Amino acid sequence: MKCKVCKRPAVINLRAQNRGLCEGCFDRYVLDRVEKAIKRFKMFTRKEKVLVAVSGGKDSLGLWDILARLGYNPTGLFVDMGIHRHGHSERSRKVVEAFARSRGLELIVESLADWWGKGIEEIGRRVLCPTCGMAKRYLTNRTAVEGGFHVLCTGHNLDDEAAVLLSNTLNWQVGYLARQSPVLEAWHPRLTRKAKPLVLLTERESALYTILRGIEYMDEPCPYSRGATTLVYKRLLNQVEWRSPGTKQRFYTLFLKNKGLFEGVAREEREGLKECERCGQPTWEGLCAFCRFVEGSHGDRGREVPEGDQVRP
Amino acid sequence: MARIVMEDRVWEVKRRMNVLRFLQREGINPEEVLVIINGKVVTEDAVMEPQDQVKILWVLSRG
Repeated sequence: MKCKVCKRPAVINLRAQNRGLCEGCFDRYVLDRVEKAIKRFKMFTRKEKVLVAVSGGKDSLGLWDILARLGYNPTGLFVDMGIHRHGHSERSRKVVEAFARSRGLELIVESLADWWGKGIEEIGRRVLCPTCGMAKRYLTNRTAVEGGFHVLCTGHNLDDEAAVLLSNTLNWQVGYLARQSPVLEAWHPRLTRKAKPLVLLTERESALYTILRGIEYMDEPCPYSRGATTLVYKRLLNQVEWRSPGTKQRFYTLFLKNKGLFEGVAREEREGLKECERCGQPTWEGLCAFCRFVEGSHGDRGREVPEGDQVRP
Repeated sequence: MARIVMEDRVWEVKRRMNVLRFLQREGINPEEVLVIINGKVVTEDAVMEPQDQVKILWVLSRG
């Protein structure tokens, strides 16, 4: 297959767009798609301070690279969750640090153990993805707000978003549907704006970009992610995508077009937001999910979650 | 013969074969992989020759 633009050998067949692209044209395509997402969804500007949550995986490192190339001057944030099985956290951290060094990019490293006194494996029960995700969201948000960043970016791609959308639709999680968006405004001074600049790229496109750029990434999954249902939904959608190219893109973009249907729920959620009695972070309960998690755990607390400390909006 | 590696799976193919045909024969969805022949990423219409070293990369993140 030849590149539709310059006739060189293609490295990818974009079946949804009925065209192949060579390495050079694919590189420009990726940068254009990310810039388009940033502008279309009003994610952030070049004058704002951008923080990128990086796990060491292909998507987040690829995103960090793209934003740097586009001139957004992004700072990376790695959160060490204390996953010692197979040396997962240690190896991920090394990958991220090596990437930052090679590109001369600024990196912030936070650790769950610094906040809580122990890592996610020491809960005493089995490690649960929702708990890990919640703690990670809490720490990334706090770091972004307290560091004066205007926006926190994550490497979620089109496949991630379409899979979550399918899951939320199958289970009619109306609250989650109301919140699902490529950009989430900061509804509260202790929340940062969140953005997903890769939403217009498929996971395959994101992986190809990372490989072609020669980025060394952590290609082993978290040892506790086995059986994650998100993967089931991704694979189902890919079966449909193969038969009907463009399905994932249509499913997601038409959802965004009709998102007004959930505005009532979204408004109720925003209005019901309170502040955590312990740490002051936004929550719908008396204590936020992270503080409930800390309170419910035993043993050393390590670093206390500061109460009502001053944060920059 | 072409040596094809995908994570812990290895195939050896004696005759030249179209990438798409191979993926479909093995039940691999082309939407979920990238194929690299002798270090170069190729599209699914490429042909694997008997002397080729082929790597199939699974692209879906699992957490």
